[in-house]
Amino acid sequence: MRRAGPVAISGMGLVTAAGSCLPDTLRTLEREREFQPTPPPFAVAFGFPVFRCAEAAFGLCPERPAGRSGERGFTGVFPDPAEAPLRLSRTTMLALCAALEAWRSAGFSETAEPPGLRLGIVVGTSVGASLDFFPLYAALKAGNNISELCPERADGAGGTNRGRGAGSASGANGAGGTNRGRGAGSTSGANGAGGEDGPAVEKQNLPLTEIEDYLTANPAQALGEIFRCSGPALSVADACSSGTDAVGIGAGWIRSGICDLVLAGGADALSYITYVGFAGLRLPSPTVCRPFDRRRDGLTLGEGAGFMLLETEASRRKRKVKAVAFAAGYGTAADAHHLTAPHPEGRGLASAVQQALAQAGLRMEDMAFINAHGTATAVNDAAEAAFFTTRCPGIPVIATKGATGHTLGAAGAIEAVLSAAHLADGSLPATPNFREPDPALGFSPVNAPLPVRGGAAVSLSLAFGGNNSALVLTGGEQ
Amino acid sequence: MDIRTALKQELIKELRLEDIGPEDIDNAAPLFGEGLGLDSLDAVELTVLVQRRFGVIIEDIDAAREAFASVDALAGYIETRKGELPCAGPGLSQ
Amino acid sequence: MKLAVDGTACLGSFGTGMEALLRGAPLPAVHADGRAVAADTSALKARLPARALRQIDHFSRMALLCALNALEDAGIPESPPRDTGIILVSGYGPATPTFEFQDSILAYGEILASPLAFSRSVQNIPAATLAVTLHLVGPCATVCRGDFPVADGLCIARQWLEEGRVERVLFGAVDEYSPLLARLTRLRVGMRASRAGREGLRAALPVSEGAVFFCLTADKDISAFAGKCRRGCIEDILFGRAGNIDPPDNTGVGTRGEVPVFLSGAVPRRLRALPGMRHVGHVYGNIPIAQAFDAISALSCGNGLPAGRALCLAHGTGGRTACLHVRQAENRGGAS
Repeated sequence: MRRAGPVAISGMGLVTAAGSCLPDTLRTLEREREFQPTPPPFAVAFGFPVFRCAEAAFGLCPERPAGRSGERGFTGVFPDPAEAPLRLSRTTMLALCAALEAWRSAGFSETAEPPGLRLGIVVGTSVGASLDFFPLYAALKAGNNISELCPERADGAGGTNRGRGAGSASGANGAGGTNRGRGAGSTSGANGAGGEDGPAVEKQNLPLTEIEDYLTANPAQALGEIFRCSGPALSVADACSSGTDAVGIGAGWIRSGICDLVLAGGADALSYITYVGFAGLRLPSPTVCRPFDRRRDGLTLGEGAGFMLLETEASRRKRKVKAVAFAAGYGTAADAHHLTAPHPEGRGLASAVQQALAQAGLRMEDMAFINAHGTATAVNDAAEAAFFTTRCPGIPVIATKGATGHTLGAAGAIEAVLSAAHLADGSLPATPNFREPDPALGFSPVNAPLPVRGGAAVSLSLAFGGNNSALVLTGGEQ
Repeated sequence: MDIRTALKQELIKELRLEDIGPEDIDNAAPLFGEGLGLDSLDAVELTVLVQRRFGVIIEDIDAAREAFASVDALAGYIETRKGELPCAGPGLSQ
Repeated sequence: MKLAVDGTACLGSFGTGMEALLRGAPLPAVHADGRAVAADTSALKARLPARALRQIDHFSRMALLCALNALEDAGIPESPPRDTGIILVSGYGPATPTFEFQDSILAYGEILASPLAFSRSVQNIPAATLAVTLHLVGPCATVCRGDFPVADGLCIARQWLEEGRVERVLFGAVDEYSPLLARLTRLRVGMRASRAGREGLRAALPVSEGAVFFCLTADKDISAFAGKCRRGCIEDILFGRAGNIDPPDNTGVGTRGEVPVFLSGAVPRRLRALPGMRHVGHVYGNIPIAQAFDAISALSCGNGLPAGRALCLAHGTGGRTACLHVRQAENRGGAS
């Protein structure tokens, strides 16, 4: 891994359960120690609470047309109406809000690729890249005859809204909406697949627009259309390391000259399917996640988005814009050990960190702090703790998922943004929800505000499938 | 059908142990590690299968480790707890 | 920097290997349950123990078999060098496990849904399966976009090689057939056509499945590699916006047929009729990774390319395009 020049970050944006924009989340982290999750936004048989983003988080989304009542939409934004999806998924809206905050804080006012500059988009996501539109799936399995359905109606009434009901199943909250159409919990057993009897699946007149949304839910594609970018626009689906990987990939595009600007980040909305899946794997905590705490008993799912605007030196100098921080190095490596458990000695993690440091031309001793993955599961925290105590003794560690929840595809990007912001602020807040050290781990994360000494930090992500990714961030220009 | 045979059916079908039949699984042989070579993910699936088929809930996989030692051990665990079945509700009916 | 292609492999609804692809037989119409399109992965049973294959679903099996074939084609032993990265691109990822998990929720309820099915549906599990099976401990990325994931993923491969992050990239493009996804795709293509007043190239093609793998190295100093660019190279990857019917300038595409252009995706009808345009989609079907099939066809079609060069141009939604500049190997040995 060769040493390479750092890549400037000229703007950042963040949407989490702890704040609707980056300054909000930073203030909340300074002010609060304990963060309480809330019940999931959909009816489900499990009781694990989650971290949700407030509706105010979507305030940055432009031009929400009055249009169909109760819906959010961006019909005015897409240049070619024939090509535009009629609504954006919640994951895409989260991405757009954070991306717009980054874009505007870097000094751009037009939501479009600037003339003469090439913009690329890279979004880490799990929900945004997967086919988990459950109410639609359930209804289709129940035998709705979609060949008879009419396409979207000119009046925009009836067909497009029918069957979605309050807290609609698609677009607006994307979190699976009401119980309607699932038959889960109430009619499970052999009959649950939607027979005529029971409250199984309500027959719905599904408009083809829902199908269109279902198949075009890719946030990178949507952002690519909104910004009319001419560079690559892709979604990285590396599970929990996606956000970190997105920033690393975006920085690579800047260095190699493929793009002048890259909006790199991650986004994931709470998803019914993901929630049920994690619950079945017995990963969530019944109360709240407490990373590295003696009484930790699982993760708490969350939603959000974090974005960085990466920029070439040439473009930055021309625009006379300061760098908020720098993406100095990126590393990623597979454990190649087991599909769901991390390597017990952190083999992949060590390799990823070593790559990132090598690219940044720095050593672990130069790091002012580490932002851990810290999901608060027994296995993850133990694996990371082993790594910290053997390879990074004495370096302060912060874990932020106690405030944001585990946002899956967004996590790495959210934590990269927070790490860069903490470097810029010169101080770390206490680790949210951490109370009591676990003697078995051999270390404690930061549990009181701490001044940051030094100009570099590393942010880590460990993913399902055994992927490990690391970013080295360095301080910006004052 | 007796519990052991039913368990082996579930193992073969749901854990995709292709190319073997119930007669190929030794009731006393280890399920995890050697023997059938199941892993931690299979263990989680197995708890769901046991609940689906027999209505027995395994709350804590770690605490129930001995139950997963073999088909015999798991059958014994199910036999002792089947009598404590709560009233059948969603998901427990056959 | 060019990407040297040391080994290639493909399989899909059309069969397995370049001979089957180049034979050019159009895909038959598909049965409702998709039987006609299932790619054959039975060859894996001879190469891996049954226990290793147990939890590997069809999508991952296509990836694994194709990866093994590409490594073999490149003359690399089955445990590739440690400094090999994996990139897997897909339009929709492992669709069947995703639907299986949802089926288990419908059949058994939330509490008794299958955790194993959920874990198999996680998008990066196929790439992780490759890493575990082939013992590859380098970078491992999964990229997803519905229309043309191939070009975007190749940018990452090129970047990793440029940075010196790895010496070699095992690059795979995989998509699997599922009856429901096929049904929805056909409906959407039809809906889009009626809404936009035009029909893309894909509309008439049967939805299919398949995998294409390339073993890639950096074409900076070919003599350093024993393979010496065995299968050709990918010289450039360009993105653009088709503002009008003719291909955009930055793809270097002329309209006089000097360099053959393989087309895929939502290609405007009028573009198809221009001289030099080629279409192989009727062989491999309607599939998001079409551009990978075009690239492997271009590399392997022997004397079918006048100057040994071709462009593989994919049209996405919204008028975006991605173009691969492909050059055949010097000896143009053709298919393996």
